[in-house]
Amino acid sequence: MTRQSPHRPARPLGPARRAAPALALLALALGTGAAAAQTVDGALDGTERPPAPGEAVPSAEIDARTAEIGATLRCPICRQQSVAESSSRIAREMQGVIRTMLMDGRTTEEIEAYFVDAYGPWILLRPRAEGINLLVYIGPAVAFALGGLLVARRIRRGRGRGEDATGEEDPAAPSAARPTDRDPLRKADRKWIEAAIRGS
Amino acid sequence: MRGWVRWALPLSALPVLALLYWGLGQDQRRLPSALEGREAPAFRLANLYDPSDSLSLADLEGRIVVLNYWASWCIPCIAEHPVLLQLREHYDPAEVALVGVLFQDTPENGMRFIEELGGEWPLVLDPGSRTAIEYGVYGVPETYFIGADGVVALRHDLAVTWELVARTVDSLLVARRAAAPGGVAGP
Repeated sequence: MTRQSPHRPARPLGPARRAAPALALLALALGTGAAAAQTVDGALDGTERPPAPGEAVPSAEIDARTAEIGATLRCPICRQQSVAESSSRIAREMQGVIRTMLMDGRTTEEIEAYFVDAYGPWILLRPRAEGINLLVYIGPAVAFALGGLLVARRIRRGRGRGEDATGEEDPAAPSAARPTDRDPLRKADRKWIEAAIRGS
Repeated sequence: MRGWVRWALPLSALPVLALLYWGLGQDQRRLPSALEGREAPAFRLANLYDPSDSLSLADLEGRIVVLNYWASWCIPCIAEHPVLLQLREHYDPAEVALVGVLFQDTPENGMRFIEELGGEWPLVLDPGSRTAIEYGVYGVPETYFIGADGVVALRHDLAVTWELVARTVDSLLVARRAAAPGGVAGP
């Protein structure tokens, strides 16, 4: 019975939050509007600062952030749609919970954690990059790299055969000096070895 | 080395095929509950018949709670209703509390449903599905079996059967009696 409700009481103010109204007043006094710009910028670049309790949050910003968070959560009924896209009632009610939590000053991470707590990680449309989920993120890159290596290997081997077929070697040369498919040494290596033998 | 590579390609496909085989065998409609084994979220919900009256999980402390999310528009809820009636009849409400939470429905429709099919257990409203969302409900019927210790023992996301109810509740009763002062495990 310890899980948090979206209607929890306001948290104690941290130093940054305590200073926020004073900073806003200072910014207004200087006529720079810096504090307001920080709030909007923060929402846009993902480094959002939760509003201090009592601080008015523009409705448009709340709407935008509700949609942004809703887009990362799976609709429990539609499954393949996000909470933001779905028109189901549960999705609308989840958006209501997100909105309430945002107005309470909760961060995106706290809101996601709240839904994960209730529904499990399944509720996140993008799996977290941890544990077995890492396969989803690393697997394709590893498979692509391995595939590339195999292709490069094939191409290199094909070129080697092509050179053999064009017969760059002197046909009069002893047969032992002409690398063939049966020759365990690579063509370049044999050349180098033979040159070294001749030079010694 | 060349021989190893020749085997590596088909071998690397094996885990993918195994995953596919496992996935095809899963019932995609059913999802694991994040709540099982954890403390049940607290709630205080208004009574369906008298919204000025309310019921909280704390009011049921020490009892086994069978929390059933239902709706009048839900066909499987009609199918499972006789099981809930049997549950109410079979167990002592002082030990096992059955609570019905109306999910995304109007109180009028809920009352009509009960009037037609019967049911004398506490029925509560969940405006905005706030409690349902805290419990991770994604459809009805869904039933949560909460032990006397307040921990969710089982979440069942289809219509309950009597066999499932009896087995789960009996098991929780054994644990409850064993945990009671001077109690012993056993039927």
